[in-house]
Amino acid sequence: MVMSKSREGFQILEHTADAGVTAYGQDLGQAFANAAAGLFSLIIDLDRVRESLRRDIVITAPGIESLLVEWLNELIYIFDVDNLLFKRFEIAHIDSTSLRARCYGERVDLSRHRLKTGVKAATYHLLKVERHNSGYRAQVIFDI
Amino acid sequence: MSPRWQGKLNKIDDYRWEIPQSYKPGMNVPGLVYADTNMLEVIRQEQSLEQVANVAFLPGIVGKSLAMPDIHWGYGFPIGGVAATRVEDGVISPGGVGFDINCGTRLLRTNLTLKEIQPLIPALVDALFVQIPSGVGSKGKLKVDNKELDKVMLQGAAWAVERGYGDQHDLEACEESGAMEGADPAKVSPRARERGIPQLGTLGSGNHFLEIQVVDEIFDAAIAKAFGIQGKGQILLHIHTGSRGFGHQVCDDYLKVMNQAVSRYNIRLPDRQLACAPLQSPEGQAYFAAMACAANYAWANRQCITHWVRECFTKVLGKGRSELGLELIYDVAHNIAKIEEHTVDGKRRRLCIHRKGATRAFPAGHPDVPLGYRQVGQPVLIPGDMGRYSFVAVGTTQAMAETFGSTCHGAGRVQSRGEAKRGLRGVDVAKVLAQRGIQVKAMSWAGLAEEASEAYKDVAEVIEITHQAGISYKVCRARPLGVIKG
Repeated sequence: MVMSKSREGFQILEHTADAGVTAYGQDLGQAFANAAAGLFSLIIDLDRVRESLRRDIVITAPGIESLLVEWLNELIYIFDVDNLLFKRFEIAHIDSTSLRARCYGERVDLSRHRLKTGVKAATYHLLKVERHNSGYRAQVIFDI
Repeated sequence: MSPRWQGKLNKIDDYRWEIPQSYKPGMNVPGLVYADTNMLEVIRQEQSLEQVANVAFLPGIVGKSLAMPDIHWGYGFPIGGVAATRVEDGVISPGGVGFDINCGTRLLRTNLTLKEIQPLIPALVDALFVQIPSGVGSKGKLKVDNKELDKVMLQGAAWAVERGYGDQHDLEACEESGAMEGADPAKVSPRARERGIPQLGTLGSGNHFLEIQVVDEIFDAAIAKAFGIQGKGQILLHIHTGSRGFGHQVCDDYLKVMNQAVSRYNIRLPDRQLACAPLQSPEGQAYFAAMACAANYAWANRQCITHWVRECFTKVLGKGRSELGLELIYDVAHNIAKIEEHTVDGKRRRLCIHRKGATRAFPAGHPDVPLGYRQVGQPVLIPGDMGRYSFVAVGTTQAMAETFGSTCHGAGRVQSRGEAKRGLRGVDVAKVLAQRGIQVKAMSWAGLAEEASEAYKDVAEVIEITHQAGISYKVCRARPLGVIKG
């Protein structure tokens, strides 16, 4: 597994058939927001995405690691069904079993957006949410 | 890079290596890897063999946790793995099938030769690219509602044939005749339906493809003939896709269910992605019924694409169907769980066979092999990478005895997608292929670079190992002329 250069609070993890993200944050919310940005960076060059709409999301899960998977899979579902690309995330609330987020982005416009890779799902493999230095680190592998 | 796998392997013969059950406490059976020494060195560079050992933890697993020579590191299960569990008291694991339920390939034969088709390849590639929706988030041109989707889930390829997308012969040439039993649309979530409705009849992205190929090597002329492959120079058409967002959502839904089930049934696993439930439990039964729906969706998907491929050929070549051929040789799943009968320790048993990146390879005489092929065995379709070649092989009695009637499914990745992209640009990949007479069209240049030959093992080395080990015999090889990538 190789890590690419850090940027914007996340690193892309390379896994033979798939890819993952390690995200960092001063707090849990920031780590989860960065993980989501990492996910969309696999799909599209984030600089190409405008913030023209907002979608609010509420997630509940049995534990913090499942919460990370379900958060990311919710975003994949929204991308798949409503064709929304997000680039910025505000986590309004997070605890070990629930999350409330505001997601900013826009609808896919194939005249401007060059989509890179499809992401099938976030997986439970090598899944980690842990304290790191004075903040948090979240790691997830996607099926590409 | 991941650390090199340091575990112990016992050499059985030149193509078989065992991971002893004692390697890790908790393994219920040993692991068995099909590889030669060179391939083993490649495999050891990552942690896929650890995953073979982890799969051996599954309750009710019988025989061995198997790894085909194209094995590579997956998430939970290795890709290229086969695991058989007892129907009565074993488990079923969505991770042992994967997100792309019934991802598989189908191969069509034509009456065309290289000579007549060569000048028309660019036009054919263009037509296929326009007519068959591909790429990330691609939407299909079929209009189906929820009621119609229920029929897709129950009838599979037959749903498409009923709508005029193919004929009875297509169904006879599909694994399971293009529809698995046991599907129950009530076990599929509204979310899976939402993702499934617009994506029916789409190729998708990643490693999915359409390829126009030419036969360039025959290894067994008699069996090739039985498959309708007459000799070198014959044109084939290869389709590789699966159940799209529908299957991804079914897997995701049931991983959540299984994560809860693992504690309810007190199952201890080394990786959460192996989450499972007893096949006979409500959770296990529900997953099987939903998975069968997704498998049938995939067969319908490949059937619709087949129809559009035929339309494109008819239009571009100005010839009728009977003149073109374009008959289905076979259609196989390589991500699926099936209930099958096998002999274990001299006893006939009903087993749940998980094939995750592995192809069914039933021998001559097996009742599940279509009548037309029953004398020779089931066709096994092994796509390689887009710059080299693909193989057709045939199932064997050895596979039945050792691998629950399974063999490899492809080349297997050796490079991560990022590595491949850094080394190559999609535009250059297409240029190099064009110089070698292979026309490529792709929705994403980055996606194309990720799929370059360099990212894969040489499928010829993979197929040589399965051939030498006797778990499938090679029949012919075909190289690509035109490629459509998502």
